[in-house]
Amino acid sequence: MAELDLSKKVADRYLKREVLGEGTYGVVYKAIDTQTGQTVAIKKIRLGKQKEGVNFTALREIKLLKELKDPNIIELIDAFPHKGNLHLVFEFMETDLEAVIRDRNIVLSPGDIKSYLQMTLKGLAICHKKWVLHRDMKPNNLLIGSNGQLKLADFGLARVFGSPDRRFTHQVFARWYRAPELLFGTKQYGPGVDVWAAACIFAELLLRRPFLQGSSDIDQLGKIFAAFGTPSASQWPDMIFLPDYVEYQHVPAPPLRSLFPMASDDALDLLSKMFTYDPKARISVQQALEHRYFSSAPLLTDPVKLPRPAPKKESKVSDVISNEGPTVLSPPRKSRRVMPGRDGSEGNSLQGDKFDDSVVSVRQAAGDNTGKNEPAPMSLDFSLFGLKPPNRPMITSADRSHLKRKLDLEF
Amino acid sequence: MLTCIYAACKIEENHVSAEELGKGISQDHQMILNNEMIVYQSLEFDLIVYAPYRSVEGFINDMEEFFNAGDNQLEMLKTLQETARFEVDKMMLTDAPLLFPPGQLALAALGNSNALHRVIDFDSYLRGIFSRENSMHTMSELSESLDAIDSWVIVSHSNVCPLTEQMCKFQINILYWLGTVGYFCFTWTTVRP
Repeated sequence: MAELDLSKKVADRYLKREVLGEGTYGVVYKAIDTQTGQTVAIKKIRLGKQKEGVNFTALREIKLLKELKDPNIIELIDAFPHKGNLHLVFEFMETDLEAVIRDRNIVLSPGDIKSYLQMTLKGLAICHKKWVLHRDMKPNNLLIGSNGQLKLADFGLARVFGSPDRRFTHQVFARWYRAPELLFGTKQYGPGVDVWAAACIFAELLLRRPFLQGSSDIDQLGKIFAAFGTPSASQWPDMIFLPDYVEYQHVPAPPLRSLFPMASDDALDLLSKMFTYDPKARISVQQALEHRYFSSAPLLTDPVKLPRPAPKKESKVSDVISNEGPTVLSPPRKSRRVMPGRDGSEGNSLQGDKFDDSVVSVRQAAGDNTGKNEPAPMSLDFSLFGLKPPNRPMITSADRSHLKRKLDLEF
Repeated sequence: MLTCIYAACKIEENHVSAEELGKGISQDHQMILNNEMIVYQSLEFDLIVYAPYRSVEGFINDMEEFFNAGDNQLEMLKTLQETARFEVDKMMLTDAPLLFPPGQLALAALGNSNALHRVIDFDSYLRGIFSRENSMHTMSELSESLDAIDSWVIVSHSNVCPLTEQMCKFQINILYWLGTVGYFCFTWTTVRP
């Protein structure tokens, strides 16, 4: 690497194509690796303006991805400075799990959901085995390649855990995926925080919408307790000792079945273990992978056959030789799109109540499926219920400023 | 050299700002920052160094079970652990952490500590590891590695590190970071034409 002429690196090796997106620290664009013919994604990170030199999250991403090699973790192919910027070269991934969840044209069968969750947990298991917490698990950080493989990405918040005396910031994860111990301000935590976030992703696959959509930390805890009941001292003995603990009015837990009416018993059992309040009692990723949910019917869908959003049409005609194989089409699938009778226009209904009513309608409309063991695939069209999918929060600006300050301290 | 210290602190998530480093040695902190990317590039972005401190703790816990330690022996194992940490501190100043896996470094440190304190039958513990783990390697291979690690420490320990006195001013964990800095310097010199 050192022998190469750096000023010509991009031109000599990577042919730039269109911009894929822009994040906090720079632009991500598509490129072709002319040495291998491989399509890659290059993240360009600005360098010069940083008061403290090379960007912390970029360093962290490089450091950890160098140690993590797995089919379910995105590969960092190369890293180099060029024209005053740091370039990270990743394998190209076609889409992400958020796009799958939000695509109304896609029907996710129980086997599809099982397959996506398994790949998520497999990637996470490798991280935890190598003493790495991801700390930003959410659907749009789970990328999907051309072969249907799901891979964990964005290790900018990840770090090594396991030293008993180290304390970390609790300001991690996008809020909807943040575990209750983090919301109560703990600075000593472990892999359970990633498991909670993975459980939120599991719930989101089942519901086709984000599960616990809090608008503040207090509201997030309120939503959690509304879903699972306010934790008792016997459930979570250490809760009252957490730095930001506040007492909530007691609410009994509704049946999990009422929240996920179409899920199988095994799915509900795994969900309840992943959503356990006490992080010490919460199921580990490895234990979750061994849960009977993954070995019972219906079988896992083969990754190649998983449904994916239709690719965006590329208007440019390019004479660059494309290494992309033929598009794998989803096989024809028998699916039932159930149209509920309600118009969903009642303004007084709470979102949750409306959703519950809608589910009842779905079940009634699918009456001839009631006796079957296998739950019918469920597809929700938000527009039918007048529900607009809310914009997904990043770490909010308040959190971010705190995060930025922490970068120089104990992060 | 200062950029290496700055980069080591940053990578190990014990951040020290370039300004503070600069003040400590009356140097412009911009000089530290300007060379940062060169350091990472020279290392080919291989940034993690595995120190054996955690491995020492792991082996101590394992010994407690292996010897079915009572209260008195637990105290002695704690002493063994503390001396082993000083052994590791010495190792971090050598090239040994670049050449051997952390588990072997930890065993070498514990072996030296035990030679001083005579807490356990160290050889029977090592044989116990092999009988439990169905190892692909032999006892003699491990002994050779442990002896080689000791050689590195003995050779390097005879040279007083000139930076030790100056580094005290920064109140950094001197031994730990010098070990990491040694890593960077080692790679840095091999890259230089």
